[in-house]
Amino acid sequence: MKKTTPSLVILLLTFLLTRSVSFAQYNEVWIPPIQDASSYNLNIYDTIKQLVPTGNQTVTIGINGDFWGPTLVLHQGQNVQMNVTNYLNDSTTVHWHGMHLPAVMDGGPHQVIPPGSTWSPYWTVNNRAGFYWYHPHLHSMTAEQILKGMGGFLIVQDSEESALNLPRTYGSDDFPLVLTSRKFSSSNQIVLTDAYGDYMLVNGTRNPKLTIPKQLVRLRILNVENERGFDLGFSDNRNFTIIANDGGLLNAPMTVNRVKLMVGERIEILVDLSNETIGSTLELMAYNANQAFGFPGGEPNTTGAFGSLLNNTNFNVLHLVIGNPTQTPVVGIPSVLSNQTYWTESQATVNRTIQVTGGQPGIPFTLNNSSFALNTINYHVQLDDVEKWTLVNNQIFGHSFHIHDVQFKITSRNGSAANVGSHEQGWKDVVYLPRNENVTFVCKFNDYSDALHPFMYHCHFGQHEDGGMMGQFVVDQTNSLSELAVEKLILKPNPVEDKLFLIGLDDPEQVYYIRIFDQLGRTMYMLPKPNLTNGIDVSKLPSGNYLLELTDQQTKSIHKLRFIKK
Amino acid sequence: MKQILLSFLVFFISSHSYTQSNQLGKEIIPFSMQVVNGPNISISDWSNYQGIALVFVCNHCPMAKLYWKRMQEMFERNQGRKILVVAVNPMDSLLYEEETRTKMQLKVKKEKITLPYVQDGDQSISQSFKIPHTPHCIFLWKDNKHWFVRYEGAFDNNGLHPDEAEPYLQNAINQLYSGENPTLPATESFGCRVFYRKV
Ligand SMILES: [Cu+2]
Repeated sequence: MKKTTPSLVILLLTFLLTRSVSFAQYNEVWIPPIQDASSYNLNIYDTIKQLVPTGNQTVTIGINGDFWGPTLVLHQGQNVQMNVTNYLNDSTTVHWHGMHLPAVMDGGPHQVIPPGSTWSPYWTVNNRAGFYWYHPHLHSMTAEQILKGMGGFLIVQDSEESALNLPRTYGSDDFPLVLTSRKFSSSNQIVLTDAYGDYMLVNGTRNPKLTIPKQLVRLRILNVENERGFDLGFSDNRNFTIIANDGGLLNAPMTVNRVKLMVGERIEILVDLSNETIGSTLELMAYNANQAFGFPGGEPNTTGAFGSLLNNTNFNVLHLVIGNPTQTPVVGIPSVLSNQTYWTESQATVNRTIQVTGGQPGIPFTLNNSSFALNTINYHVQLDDVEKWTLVNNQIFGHSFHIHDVQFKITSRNGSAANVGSHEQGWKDVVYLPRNENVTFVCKFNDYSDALHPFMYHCHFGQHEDGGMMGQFVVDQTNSLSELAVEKLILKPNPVEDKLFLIGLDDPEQVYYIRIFDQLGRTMYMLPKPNLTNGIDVSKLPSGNYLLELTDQQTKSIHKLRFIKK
Repeated sequence: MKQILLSFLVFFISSHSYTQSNQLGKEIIPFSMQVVNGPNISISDWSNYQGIALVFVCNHCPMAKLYWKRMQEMFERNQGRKILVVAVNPMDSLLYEEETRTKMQLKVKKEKITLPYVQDGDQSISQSFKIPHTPHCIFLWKDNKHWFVRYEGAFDNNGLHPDEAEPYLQNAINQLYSGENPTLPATESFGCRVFYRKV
């Protein structure tokens, strides 16, 4: 009897310990690898990840990984070249969310990348320093591909932000966080049809914890929920400081203890942890209980298409554990961050009103009663125009409105500038449009015109966008470029081994698009406005016969040239 | 003009929706299958078999890739029981260079695969079973000279860890072999969607 007691105690202890461990088991949050280069290769794969702790793996989409892609650093004023290769079973697109760039590089629903092909857009970065992201935008497939984990962060750097004394050591005192949730089927697969997830994922990590240094830290937060908004705050109700949102630094820091972050929105906050005890903990929370009717995620249901275990509750988003400070902590918050002059409503020469329509049971939401159609241009915007857009939502639910190409200034909510939130003072590319409200923003459509290729505006809720709550506009101007003199165009050398040159072009600007197909018609390369001075690199193509299709900038007519790869 | 031109940039291979097929109980008339393992091999005479497991897989799908070893073992394990295990490639080889007959033959040779690997060149077999994605299994069982679908769904329930998996397909085969009905005649499967070429 005496002899058995200790082993029993040990057994009991082991049992209790393993139980408590499995209950409070946090996983250190994954910080995507950061890359700083002028050219990036993004390889998109179908893959799997253990997202449910036990049992089968979950089918995901990875970009150079198994869920979410690398963080890419872009420098204002410099060129960036992207080579996006689609190894997925399905087509996709990659959109550079928040970037100001030519429409043909934007990665919207028209820049479809078929399986097995490489899309190579490039542009000169002219966004302000800030926290942007990339994600798929294939019409009717966006929700599914984002839910499977396809996306990544973009961090733009510029001289203004770099000159400020702010935490910016990636993964050390500066942390990127993508907040999202997932619901899983009985076989551990992501449920693609419902509006909300049941389990939070931060950077794809379930039950996440972040060990964070005892000092002033910077959190860059992005909401990539399907629909849910987050009313973010800390478990001790502490104040924190907003320094930037979608389009970069605010003019002055804003101190708050709550901030609403809706789908597609970004926020950069500073949190002072210098007075904490090492080893102590803090929760980043979503205070989503008792939100106003129409707040996405405020529904009472816990199951079903609009149900979730996280609905209408306050829940833990990220468990923070205070760790050792870094060697050179940043101290103090600059009182002035930037000196932006924003557009005002009186500067606008064109006014547009967009109504939220549809949304009755069984009917998808639409904009101005028209569902998205790939071949319908909803608006023609003149280059350099300043426009005022008013979004009106008399429907039953809130939405996250996003427009491509520009950063805008929110000038009023429900007719008053005073209603614009302190967290949405800077440049924005997404705006929350609550139920029974309207919002007005002003923006300028400068730099990039293209009579053919449109930019999108849409609700950023996956299923709303896929359901047709999207429209498109082109930015027009009269074009003075000459037409191609087609008859003298030839490809050299032919047969070719590595670099293929286009001979007979007077002006490389004449070429709008080049696509290369193999003998069976599979797309190999998609090159928007290619830089042809150094030739086209075809060294990776297998030997065989190929077709090069060239689209004329001026007439948009297509010319076909053949070549042989040795 | 503009609108016609706009559409040239758009190349879709699919629409969004697909549904899990439900083939259970369906009677199947024996059909011929072209095997790539050697020259001019086909499986057309089913009379020597009591059961045929069709495992729809392919070369490029990462989920399907996890199952080749397990399929080969199942093929060997069931040979003495007049039960044939066949790998069937439902993918459109025009769409995926990786799924051509040449690439299938290369795989069989390189990985020493002896279980028959069938190219469903016109996708007719896959289409008749409404195969939604790879991997996906159909088990056919002969009852009084008639063939019926008696199991449909996943191979097992753990892609990465075979030792932790519940072997759904093998269990169904075993139960039918010993004269019982499968406890789990249908399970949820998932993987790389099969796109059917429009004709
Ligand atoms: Cu919406």
